[in-house]
Amino acid sequence: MCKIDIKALLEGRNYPEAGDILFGLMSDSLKKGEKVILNMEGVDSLPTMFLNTSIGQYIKDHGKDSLQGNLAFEKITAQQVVRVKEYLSRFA
Amino acid sequence: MVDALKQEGAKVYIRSNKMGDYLYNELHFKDYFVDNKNFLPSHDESLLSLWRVKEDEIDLHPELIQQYLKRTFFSNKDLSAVKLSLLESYYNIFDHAEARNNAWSMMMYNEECHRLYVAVGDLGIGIPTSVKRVIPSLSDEEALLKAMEPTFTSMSRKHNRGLGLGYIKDACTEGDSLTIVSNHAKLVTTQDRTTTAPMPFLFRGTLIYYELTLTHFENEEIIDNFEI
Repeated sequence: MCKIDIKALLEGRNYPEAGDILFGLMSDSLKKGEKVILNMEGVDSLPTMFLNTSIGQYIKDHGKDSLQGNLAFEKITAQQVVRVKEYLSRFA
Repeated sequence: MVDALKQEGAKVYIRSNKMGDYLYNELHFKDYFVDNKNFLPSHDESLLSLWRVKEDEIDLHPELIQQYLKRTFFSNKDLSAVKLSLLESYYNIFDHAEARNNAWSMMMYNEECHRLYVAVGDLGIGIPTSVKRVIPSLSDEEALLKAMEPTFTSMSRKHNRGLGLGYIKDACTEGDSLTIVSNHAKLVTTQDRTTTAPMPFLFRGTLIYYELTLTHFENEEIIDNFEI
């Protein structure tokens, strides 16, 4: 299992840069068969320029099904859950 | 407009009348255009000031606005949609607009009806011009409609994949609206419908204007675990 602190990841970086790094971390862990857990404590926004370079890029490369059961969020706001679900629904 | 004229070397005079005095004193036009300030705090708590949108502060301003609204009016509400809509607006400017750093935002909060009014404007190429680089056959009205589609993007930068304008629209709740004026077209969208109309003049740039009723937003709720 790989736990990633998103607030720390965003510190000092813009959203596209942070998304790129998250993509790299996710790819490495998922390749090894590790589940990825994103700790969202203190993070209030998931804008498209972050999602597109991270989760969106991963889905583009590997398909949405590859994330099923392998990606989870903890301490996430209800509104962010709605946005993540909406975001994922836009992929076939 | 003042900034664009100044960039071209023109001298701009503001007449002393009700509107001129408001621009000069309340909105501090002198400080912005003579002293080159990017932001000045307002004496009026409901006026969230004029802000020159700069790429190196693109994440900072939305964060400050959200913090201010939570601290002053809504400590329990999840106002992330406010921050998100501003982030998407600002990133759109630097990703697509080619605005030569001439982009501004202004907000006002009406405490009686709990409504936040947001205007973000730039004097760049305009959304229809950007869209028509991908699909040249569209009219300006059709181009604005295209830009609202979730999967459409002009892919100006790697992190563009559409969705941005949709997030701004999603922040609007019942009774709210989003208006976009750009090039020869205007689009107005609410929860129920979207309409377009031709503009009688060419606007070289984009104005995004929307209203958010903050009491419609949910209270903040944290979920311990959510799995895909």
